[in-house]
Amino acid sequence: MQCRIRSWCARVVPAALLAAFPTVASAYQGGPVANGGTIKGVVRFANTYPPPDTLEVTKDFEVCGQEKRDEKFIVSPATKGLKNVVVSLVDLARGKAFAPQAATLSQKGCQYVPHLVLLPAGGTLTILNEDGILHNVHTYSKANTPLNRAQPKFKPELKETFTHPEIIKVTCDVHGWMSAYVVVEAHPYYTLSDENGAFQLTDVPPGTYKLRAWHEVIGKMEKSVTVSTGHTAEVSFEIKPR
Amino acid sequence: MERSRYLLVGGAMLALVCAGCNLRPILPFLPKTPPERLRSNAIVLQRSCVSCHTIGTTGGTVGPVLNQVANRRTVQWLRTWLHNPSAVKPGTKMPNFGFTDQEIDTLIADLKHMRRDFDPQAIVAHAGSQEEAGRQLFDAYDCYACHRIGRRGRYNAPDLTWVGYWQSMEWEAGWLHDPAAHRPGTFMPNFHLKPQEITALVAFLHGLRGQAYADDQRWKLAAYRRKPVVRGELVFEKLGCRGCHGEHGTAGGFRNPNAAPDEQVPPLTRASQKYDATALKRIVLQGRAQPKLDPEGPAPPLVCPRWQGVLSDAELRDLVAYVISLGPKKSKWTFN
Repeated sequence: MQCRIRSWCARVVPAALLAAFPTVASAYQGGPVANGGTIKGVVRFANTYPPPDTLEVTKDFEVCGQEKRDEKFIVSPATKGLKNVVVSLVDLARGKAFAPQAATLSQKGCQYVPHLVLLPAGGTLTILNEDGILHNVHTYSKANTPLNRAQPKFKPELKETFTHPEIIKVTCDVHGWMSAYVVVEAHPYYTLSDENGAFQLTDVPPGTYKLRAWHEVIGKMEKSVTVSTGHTAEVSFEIKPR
Repeated sequence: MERSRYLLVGGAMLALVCAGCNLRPILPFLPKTPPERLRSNAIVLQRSCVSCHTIGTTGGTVGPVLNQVANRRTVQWLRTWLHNPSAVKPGTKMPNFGFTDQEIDTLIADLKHMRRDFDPQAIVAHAGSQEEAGRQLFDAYDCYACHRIGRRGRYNAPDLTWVGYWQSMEWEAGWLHDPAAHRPGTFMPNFHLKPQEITALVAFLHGLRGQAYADDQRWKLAAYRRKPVVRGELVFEKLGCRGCHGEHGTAGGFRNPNAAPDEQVPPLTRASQKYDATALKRIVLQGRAQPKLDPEGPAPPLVCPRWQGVLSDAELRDLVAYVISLGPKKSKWTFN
């Protein structure tokens, strides 16, 4: 009898704890994945797509140049694939090993390089100023503490740590056209679409998941995907005019 | 060989002489014990400031003009501000530079150099009228560093082009006497004005009812613009709406204590979701006080003025079209 109660407790108490502390419930557990499958796909425009655009430079022309490529929409004419779409699995409990890693966001020619940077939660972002003029790093975050730090010429490197998963917009108030996004995720199943709009997530444990695509202008979209051992699940996101 | 030896000896002597010479009188901004980093920083930082602030006649327009900042702020205030701007004004565009105390002292010393000394009593005594005295005082105190009248000045504080129309003289006088008492946490400094100065400034401000735009070619031509939204934007600018609601109605983060829901002037980017054109027209014509956050507390001080009698029907229509156009921005594209 005692033993039965104990086994009952062993099941109910952790469940109750998890219910009481949702942050504990969503914590990701990483480990080796032997029987994983792959999710592969593409993000592309169905028919028409926006033409390349430029951003107007309004000051510091000798460093910044006259205009900048607008990196919102980088579309491959051949495949109509859209670059820089964040593709990630949502509410994932376990999977392959995950550790905080470092990433770099550079300010070069008054533009952020890269436009989107992936940062595993708890990782340190190195922010470089390669321009030798004043920039400021202003983040618009909710889960992480918002930052507004100046980076003059003599401070070519700043380091910041982001602990909570979130997509954070970064701007420079000195140069109004500059913007970037830091994509912080608490598990390893997230990526950016490449020049052809293609993306791939590997070593996904078998199961049914929600796969989310996020773009800074278009918004987000979730699709259900089922992964089985040794197979590749194909998912595609199509973009059309509203 | 001989020659290079002479050069070497000469160079060594020159280095010795220079090590002993005092550069302080010609470089007043050097701190007493200048570590190399600090010395170069003082120069670089001053160059950095003009990215956003105007000093003298050149510089950016993101922050206020700094020429007379030491006239309006105390050393203690400047120190707190430079240490961490966001702590003084949450959401400010001014970044934290991570200054050391020594660097802050150097910068404050430089700002104090730019102080302008003038005799306000003499201005009041010699100006022809109260209004003229007020105009000169407004200029002397460099109110244009943050405020705007017509097309002169900045958008870092409310646009005063129509202030005489939307505020009472009593309120203006009380505000100038002690801004923080009227609105705790305000960014407006206390200028410690004498009663005669307040009388003169109120006389000047209360006369401001949009005359700055009366003869302005820009607004005369506005009516000929083809798109209603473009004409509406000019009306928005002319009425000084941007002074409180921010550029393109995105709200400048102006505090409005005890106003629901977040004690700020509301952005207009969601106005079209809450109100239709008829309702928006009514608000513009009749004015609107934001509801109180705490029903027991004082009324929020910033009120959207009544514009009835100022706007023509066409201007009202254009303004409402502009406000509706402000948002929320829907993407032209969507996932399938």
